[in-house]
Amino acid sequence: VVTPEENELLTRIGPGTRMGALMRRYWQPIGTAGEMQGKALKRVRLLGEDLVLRHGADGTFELFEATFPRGGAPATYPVAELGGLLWAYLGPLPAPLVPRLDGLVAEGTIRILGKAVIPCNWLQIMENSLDAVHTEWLHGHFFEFVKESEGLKVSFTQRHVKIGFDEFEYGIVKRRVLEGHSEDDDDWKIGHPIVFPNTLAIGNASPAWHEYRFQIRVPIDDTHTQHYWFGAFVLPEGATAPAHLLDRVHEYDTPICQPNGDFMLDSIHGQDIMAWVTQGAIADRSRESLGSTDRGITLYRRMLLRELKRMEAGEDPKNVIRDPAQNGTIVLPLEGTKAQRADGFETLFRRHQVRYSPIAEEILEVLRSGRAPELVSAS
Amino acid sequence: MLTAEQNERLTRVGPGTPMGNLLRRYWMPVATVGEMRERWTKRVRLMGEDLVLFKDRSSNFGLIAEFCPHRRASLAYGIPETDGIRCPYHGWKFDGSGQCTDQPNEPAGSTFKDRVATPAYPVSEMGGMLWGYLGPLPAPLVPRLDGFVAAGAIRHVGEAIVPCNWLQIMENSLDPVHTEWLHGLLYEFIKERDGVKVAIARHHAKIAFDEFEYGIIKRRLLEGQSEDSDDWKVGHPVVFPNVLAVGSGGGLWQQYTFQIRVPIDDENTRHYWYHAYVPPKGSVVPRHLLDDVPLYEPPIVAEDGSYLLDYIHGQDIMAWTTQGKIADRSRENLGGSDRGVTLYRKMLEREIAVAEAGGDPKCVIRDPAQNEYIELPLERNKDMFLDGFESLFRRHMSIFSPIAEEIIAVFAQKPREPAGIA
Repeated sequence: VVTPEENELLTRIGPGTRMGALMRRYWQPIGTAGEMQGKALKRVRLLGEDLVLRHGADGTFELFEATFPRGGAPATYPVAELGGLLWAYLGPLPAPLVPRLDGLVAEGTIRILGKAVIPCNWLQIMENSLDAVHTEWLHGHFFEFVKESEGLKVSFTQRHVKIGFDEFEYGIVKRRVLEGHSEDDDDWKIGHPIVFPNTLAIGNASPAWHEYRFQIRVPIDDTHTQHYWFGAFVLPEGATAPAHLLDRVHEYDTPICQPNGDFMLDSIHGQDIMAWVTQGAIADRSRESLGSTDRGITLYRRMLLRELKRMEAGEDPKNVIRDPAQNGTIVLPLEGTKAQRADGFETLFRRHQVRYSPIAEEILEVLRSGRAPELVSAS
Repeated sequence: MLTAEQNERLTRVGPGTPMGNLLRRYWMPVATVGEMRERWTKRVRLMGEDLVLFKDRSSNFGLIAEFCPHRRASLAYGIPETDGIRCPYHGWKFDGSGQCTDQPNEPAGSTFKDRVATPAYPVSEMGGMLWGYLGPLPAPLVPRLDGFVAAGAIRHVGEAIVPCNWLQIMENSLDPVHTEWLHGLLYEFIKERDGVKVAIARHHAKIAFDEFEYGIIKRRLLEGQSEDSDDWKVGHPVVFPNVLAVGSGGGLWQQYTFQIRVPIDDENTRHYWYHAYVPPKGSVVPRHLLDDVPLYEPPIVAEDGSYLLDYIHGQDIMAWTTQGKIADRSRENLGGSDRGVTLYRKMLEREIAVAEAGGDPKCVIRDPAQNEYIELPLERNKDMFLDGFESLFRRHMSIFSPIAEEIIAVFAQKPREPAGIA
């Protein structure tokens, strides 16, 4: 259990807060180059600060405070472009490098970016990613309950026999063994990571089905989070894609609720959003009762506090990268086969928020052309 | 006039407040039975507590805290089981007593679940409504007021969330003369161009209030009426603490109406208008009208956000909500006609003291013999009803009911002879 004071410390990220200072040591995405085409200004609220992103006629970007004292000069912040995303750095200079995570820099991929503002604090969204068993319930049994009248059964309901969490260079690797599977499976041997401090990296890394997915949780302020779902699909051998699919990041807004205001409980992201948002604007961790399956969450909270202390002692916290040699391409661990994906690529694709992408059907078409049929549909 | 502190004490209903403690001694309606036929859970905020009413797969109801004690996801999205409900996030199961009975991903043999429970409250069914009790156990009986249990009645219930404190809504019911103005002269003013005149605009010559076993009886003598009239001799009651019973006890027609004011929190009230109509003798009543208690939602404001001033409940809602979220009683000026309001406030204070001293406050019923059928005093011939059943019905919020026209049709058959069903 966390005291109310510890909960405040862990969640508040405005200017002058301790966790806010830690989050300011990392580059945060604030939009895309694509959305700024033909657009001179964009309002950005980041870590409780109101900022303006300016797109100069020469193609350069500037980020500065939206309001500043009369006669004074606004504070400006560095902006960088990577993987089609625009990144901002609000911490002390010199700024570190923008981490070149594999999915952001892989060549020849089809890239998509879903965006939504989630009306809750960033930490409960991150904690969901350190919580391996929630998939069995929220995306498994609960999904089947929502679809009860249709008799839907999903592979996510497979029982977790074992879960594991290991710190590694860039964050925490999360592992699971599902009933009927073994420790020799990729789910346990390889797992997939949380990239410290605010990115979940999932996907699939087999030659026939290779995709990168990053869920980046960018705090707007203490009670709102800009959520990015980044996807990069590697073309299967023999597949070709029209040029317009490859030449930019395809953006779209991911709906977080139905037109009537209800949550979208028949999709994986809608189920997650229901869980995150119902925990409250800032989840009250002084009233939780953690069990043994929550040790990934505990590990992550301890890591946040540890890195906070390191930073306050004058060091660079975890995953602040300054050496270009280290930053060629950061290859993250990623499963090649996942037991929870037994329902097949296309079925899963349609249950995910990626279905809202304007190029969703085109992606499916391209990937089908080079993929073994059993991966496309498990029927 | 009250001090600001007295006002706080009388209005605040959250856990641990003096008034919250008093109101927790009474069963409060939380849903209709019909409403829960279509769903497994309903979010219920009651006296500042976020709760979930759920139905398990054995059709038992439970009322438990909304947020799972594990990591505080909402049980409003819970998965029903034969003997409880599971959290959608990690499958922790809770029974109707709030005890955690399963944590599917904890190691076999773990006793952790035995040490986890969530707040839970009793649920009862009566009059087609589901009632919750948030007070100390053992719970008393759900009062079987006449209109809830009268045989052969057609029933329906309207529900609205009124965005103000419960007390100013109740005080309106201890205030007989407001009807002359708010529902009479204001209504005639609104309808001035149409030249509408209504019986309810008649002047009050005299008003009176008497405490009785179940609350306060309110009486009125309108100009030109004799003291032998039901309006003066019989009157109708406010059932302590939060129900107004109006209607007509037979005469022109027989109708029970309960206006139940359920505090959601300090600034919002769930308002139920519960109606039971006993059809005139010899009427042919379609069976489905007797089988169910349909729920409907009368609008409380127009589409553009303005008040609906052309019907009685819209006028009440305008008065209640313009008094403020919590009416500031330190700035009021009470006159001679407000003594019902004063009596009611004193009664609330007195019963708070009774409850705090360990007694059962007024209208807490534990004797089943007393609770078979609680017949309330109710006028037979009400002067205000002289415009007739249909005219009055159409000026009421009941007109928004899905069975409104069917009810009017039943009463149009033989409007002047109450009692009996076909």
